[in-house]
Amino acid sequence: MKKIIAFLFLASVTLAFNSCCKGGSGGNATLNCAIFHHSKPIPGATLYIKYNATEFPGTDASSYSDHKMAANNSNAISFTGLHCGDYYLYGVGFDSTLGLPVTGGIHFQIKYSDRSHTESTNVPVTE
Amino acid sequence: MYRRLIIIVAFGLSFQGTISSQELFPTSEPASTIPKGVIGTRLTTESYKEVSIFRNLASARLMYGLFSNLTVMANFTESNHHGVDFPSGLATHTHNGNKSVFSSGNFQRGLIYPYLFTGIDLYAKFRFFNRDGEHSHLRMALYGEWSNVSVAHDEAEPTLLDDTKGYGGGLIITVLKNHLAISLTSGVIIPGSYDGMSPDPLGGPDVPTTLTYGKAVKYDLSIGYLLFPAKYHNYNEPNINVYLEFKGKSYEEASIIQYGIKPVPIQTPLLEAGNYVDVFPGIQTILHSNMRIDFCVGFPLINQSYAHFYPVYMFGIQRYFYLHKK
Repeated sequence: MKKIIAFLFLASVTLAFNSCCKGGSGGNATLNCAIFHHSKPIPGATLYIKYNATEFPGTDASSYSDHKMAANNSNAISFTGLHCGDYYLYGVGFDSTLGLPVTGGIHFQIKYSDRSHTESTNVPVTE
Repeated sequence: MYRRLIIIVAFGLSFQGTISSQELFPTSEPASTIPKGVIGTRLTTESYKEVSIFRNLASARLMYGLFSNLTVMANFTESNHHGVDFPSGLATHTHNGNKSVFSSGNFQRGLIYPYLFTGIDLYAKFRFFNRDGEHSHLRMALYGEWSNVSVAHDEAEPTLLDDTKGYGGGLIITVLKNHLAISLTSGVIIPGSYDGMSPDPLGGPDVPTTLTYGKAVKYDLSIGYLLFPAKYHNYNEPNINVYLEFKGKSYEEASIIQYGIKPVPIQTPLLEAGNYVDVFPGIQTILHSNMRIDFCVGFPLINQSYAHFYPVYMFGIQRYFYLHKK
């Protein structure tokens, strides 16, 4: 019985820690993102980020918490000073070989245990 | 010995609304509840052959009689049914000129997945009606269920125990007359969605894929018959019960979104709306009025489920702990 109570207590503590995580700025985590159309890097793309979101917020830029643009020769974009929690990333770029705009979004979660780490994710986009 | 028998009989008489042996259905819950303060544990396994490999599921259940008419349960499940990401071919796209053409299809079955802890399923059952007669009763209960199961389930059909997160609820009506018990369970399942990745058809980074499963209605009919003993001589006599359970489900079509924004058309029966009824004949023994061991096998009766192959072999072992006897 004591073991059961101990297990339930540990499970509650774990849940409590994870529920403390609310995506937003003011933390110590860094999120490095790379934008790809299939295996092709998309340089100069814009990446929008919505804090504390798990689903696509829409294409309206004002729906997002922040955005950054990659250098013309790079597909990499970093967001620093993030808390653990949920983020929705939405990339908008241009595939110069096809001559077409490409977009796509992905949900990313920074776990409590990674709240001071640097995390990486790809943001796949499509035409 | 007599003291033990008296305790068991007294305990049994004090549990109005509790369970008779032939209504301990292997795959369904009866409307009866666990006595207040009693803890139950149940281990179940489910296996079926998918192409050339066996899919296995093991579930540990902890049950507790919170009140005489309210039972709560927690199920912890591990299985090799699915991976963390979706299989290749479930959702993909090709390029046609300036356009991407998205499609869904039948993916390879029989893929090898590791055993994963799929999540926790919480269940509560409230018995609100009880009419007892001599060797008979009629009971009704409402149940509610919540699950945080999180695996890359790849069919439209939801199952809260081991495939999909979400919630559900419904009604259980159980009738017992002499050696026969009949129970009807009907309810709804409102599944959540799963965010996973699918392999990119052109070798790029994996593609974010969200699969939202179909809402479902379930309708189960369970019949149990106490085969032995014909008449009780003492409570240590083993019981032998036979069962026939019909388990039906009707579910909506699933939906898929890739890249967060691109809807994928549903073009495979695995993700289309469907309905089916399986039949599970089973046998059970109960030892010392407590230790329950059951075995049943499932076959398709009307249509079929795409979430499992056939036959489905299920084995369960269950025991109650009467803590306050001490």
